[in-house]
Amino acid sequence: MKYTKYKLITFLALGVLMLGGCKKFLDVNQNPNIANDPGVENVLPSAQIEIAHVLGNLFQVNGSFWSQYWTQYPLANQYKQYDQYQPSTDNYNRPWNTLYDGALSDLNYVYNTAKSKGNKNYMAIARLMSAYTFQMATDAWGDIPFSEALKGLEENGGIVAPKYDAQSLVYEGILLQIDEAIALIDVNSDAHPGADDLIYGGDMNSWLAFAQTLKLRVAMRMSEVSPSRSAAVIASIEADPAFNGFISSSADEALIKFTTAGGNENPVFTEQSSLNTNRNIIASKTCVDSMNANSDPRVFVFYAPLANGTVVGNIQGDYNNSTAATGKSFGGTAVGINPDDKNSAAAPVRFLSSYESLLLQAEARVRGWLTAGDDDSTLYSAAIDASFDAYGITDATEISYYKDSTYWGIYPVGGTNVDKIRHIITQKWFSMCGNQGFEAWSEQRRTGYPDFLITSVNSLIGTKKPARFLYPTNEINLNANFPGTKTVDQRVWWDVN
Amino acid sequence: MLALNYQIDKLGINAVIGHSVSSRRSNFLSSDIDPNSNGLVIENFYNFDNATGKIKSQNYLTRSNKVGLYATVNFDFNKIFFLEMTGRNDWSSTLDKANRSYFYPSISASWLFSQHLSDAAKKVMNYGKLRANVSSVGNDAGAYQNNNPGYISTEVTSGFGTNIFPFNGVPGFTYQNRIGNQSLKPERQLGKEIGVDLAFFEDRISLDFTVYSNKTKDQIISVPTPSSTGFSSRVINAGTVVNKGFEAGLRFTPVKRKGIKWDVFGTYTRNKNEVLDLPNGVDQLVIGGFSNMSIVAAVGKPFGTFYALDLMKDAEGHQVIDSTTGAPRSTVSPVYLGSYQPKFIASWGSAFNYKGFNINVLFDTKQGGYFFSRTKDILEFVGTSASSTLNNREPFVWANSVYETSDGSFVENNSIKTDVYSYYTVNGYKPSSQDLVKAGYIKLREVSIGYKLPQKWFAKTFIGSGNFSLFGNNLWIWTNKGNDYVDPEVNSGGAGNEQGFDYSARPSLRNYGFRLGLTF
Repeated sequence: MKYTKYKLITFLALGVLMLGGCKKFLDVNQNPNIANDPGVENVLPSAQIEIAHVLGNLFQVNGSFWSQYWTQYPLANQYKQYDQYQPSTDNYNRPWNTLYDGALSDLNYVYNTAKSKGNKNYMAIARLMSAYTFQMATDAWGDIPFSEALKGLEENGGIVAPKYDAQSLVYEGILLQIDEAIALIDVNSDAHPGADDLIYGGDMNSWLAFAQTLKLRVAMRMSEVSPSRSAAVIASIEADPAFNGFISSSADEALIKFTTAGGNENPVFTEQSSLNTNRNIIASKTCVDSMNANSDPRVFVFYAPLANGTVVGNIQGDYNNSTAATGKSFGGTAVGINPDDKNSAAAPVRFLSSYESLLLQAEARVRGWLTAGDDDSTLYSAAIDASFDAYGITDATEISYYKDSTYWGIYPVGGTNVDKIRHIITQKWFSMCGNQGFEAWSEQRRTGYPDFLITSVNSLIGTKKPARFLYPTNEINLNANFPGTKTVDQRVWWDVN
Repeated sequence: MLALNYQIDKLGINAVIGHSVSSRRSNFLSSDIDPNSNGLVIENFYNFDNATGKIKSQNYLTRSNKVGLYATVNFDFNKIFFLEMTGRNDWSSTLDKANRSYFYPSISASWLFSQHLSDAAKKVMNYGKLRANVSSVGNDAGAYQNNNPGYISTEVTSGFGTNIFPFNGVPGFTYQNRIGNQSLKPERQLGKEIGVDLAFFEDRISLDFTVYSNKTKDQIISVPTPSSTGFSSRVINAGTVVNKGFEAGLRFTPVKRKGIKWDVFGTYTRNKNEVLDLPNGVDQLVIGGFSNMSIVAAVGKPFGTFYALDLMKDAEGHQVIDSTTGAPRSTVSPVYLGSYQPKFIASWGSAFNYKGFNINVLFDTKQGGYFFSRTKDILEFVGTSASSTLNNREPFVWANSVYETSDGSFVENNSIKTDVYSYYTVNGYKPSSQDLVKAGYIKLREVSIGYKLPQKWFAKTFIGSGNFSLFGNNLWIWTNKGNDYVDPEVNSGGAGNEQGFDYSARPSLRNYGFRLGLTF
């Protein structure tokens, strides 16, 4: 028995000794598979590609269908839901997630880290990209989580069910972010990004122009619901001593250039080429016919001409008519939806284009909200030049014919404001064909132009129009503060026409 | 480990104390040429050097350590009363210092009361035992679940197309989407049960019965969060869930003579599952889901209750129809739709032996509960299920339907027709609730006929004995009305929270075969 007792004591002593040594043995729970402080220069490009991926793929396709640039190819099925005006809520999970838990979450890191290091230019870029992203989201979905968004971590409030803010408040929040960025931009500082800024390569003058142009766009979007607010915001742009002009040429266009390398291809190109049937999109007659009627040379760039050199569109939504599939044009290489041509992979994703900026200025001039700079007619002409230039159309005869002899090429200098704005927005619609499809659709919702869109043949909502993206399934099911589903025809706040 | 044994008169004592150390390490490494973001330069040449783009490589290292101390003491008195007490303390690396040590004891007692019976009484009841136990179990978390998120190389996908980094030579890192939980506590289970085992007439009838209550506290799970939080999931201690019920087993031997033995037997388990409370006082937590169907833990409901949009009804229960399209309208918010937890499970069977022959039959059943059938959804979508022939696929006026007028009142619908094809194919027409199917079944689980080969065949060989049998598994199934689709036992989610999903799983198998068994 004695022997056993000694053994017991020895055993216990050993146990206690081991427990002492255990402290280190148990301190092995630091995840080695993640970087904890990667640096702003490694996270900013991530956010920019996340936004470009959503803007250049789902927003591009959905927007281009509802802008009637593109329609469902009758021998495939992928995008029928858009031509039916009846998309699924599941369809919007990925873009919503990529914007919120991808881009906006990464931009928070860039902003906060830059702030702790006093790097104002990174802070400014993070704020501008965030403002841009929130505008995308709210223009698509209306009321969205904003003030309580992105606060899931315990130290940020642990908000696991962010409330939804009214779109009018989101717009004011976006304007505050832009103003903060404008105040932060220091064009004389050496502390700015380089190649990690995939949009401007760290050129802070261009970012300043981006900020002013984005502010102009945000202001203009309120033109119908709150014209006085639009006027006031635009006046504040001009009054700002830091104001140095809007985006005006290809040199300061906000875009990301994609390449033909696997994984770095234009988002809508990689989507098309990865689908089982890589031909899903066909030209819409709505856009093609009006371009053809105006001898618009862009029709041969935005769409792929047939063997006989013409471009022919299919009636919007006429996907059940399989015989109609023959003799119709596919999308063009320049807009990323030609999976048979590798060059299509290099189509850029445009955040803010020069022609968009020029036409926003033209509209602001017509409305009298912008007082300085070129007049509306000059801006209109410059916008057509910028659009042609962006797509490599250089034939002087073609250009002058379009601008001097066609209905949509000639600006109605002596016309009414209504007619002028109708021209400006319709010209914007032509310019954005397949390259800024979502923005064109938002402008159509705001102004009602172009006024010759038709109802999709396979509309499932009668003659009602699609007026929003649906809230994604994840929000409906996971967010305890989700305010309730909306139907596709329910308009967003600024859409009153 | 150290063990002690004492026997003092009628009292036997057996004690063990021990110590354990475990260390786990895993290193996952994989490389692939992802067709969505990459490709082959030369067709059909499968080599990493033949990639058109960046080769995606991943590695993931995990390490966790655990130390345990335990002790067990057993007492028996005269082989009639038994008492066992155990205690264990673990220290785990996967929990924060303050929470890493946890102790879990158990105690069980039993009384073999049939020992007190007279020999005459023992001819009726030859075995009788009363038992009770209270036991607890503690578990730690998986490695790094209490870590804050960090940054990983960015990959953005839309489902088909993918963009990856480096982008044109520029690297990109993105914040992870899971919120870790620094105050994670060990999960606990507390089980209480009391039961009785009885046997009569020299084991001709035997019966056991147990009543139990098992409480799971602070279960460690990863739950989805809306992305508007900046994250898609978070790790939590998920409140308290209780399982209460009883189990009964019966075995009866009606014939036992002259080489014939026939046994019949059955089991029955009835269980009620309920969520008692959830962390931070919330009354609902989504714990998983697929497609438009979520499953939630909601206070007062079973853990794993379906939650999704349903058909919209007016106050009187009439279906609301969209006045423009004729489509049935869905609720604007999700609603509770029943649970995947069954009410009871049971089995019964028979074993018959005659000389060398034996015939065995086994049935089992699970009743109550629902599952989400993607198979139903897809068969209706493509129009191959019987349900898709509704009204001969012609538009029809939905029975007892109403539509909403501009002033918000509901008017009886006699003319607006619903298109059957659209109902099954168009997004948003058929809410996910319509793909929930009752999960009950009765199965003929197994039938076998066997023969024990005559011993004399092997007399001069090295083979000791042999038997031959024909068997069939999963031979017949009965399912609830409304389930013409799949075996409710398919479960795409595997173990874990996401149960009750048939995500177009492969059908279950029916096996037939023969078996030859030899012993040497």
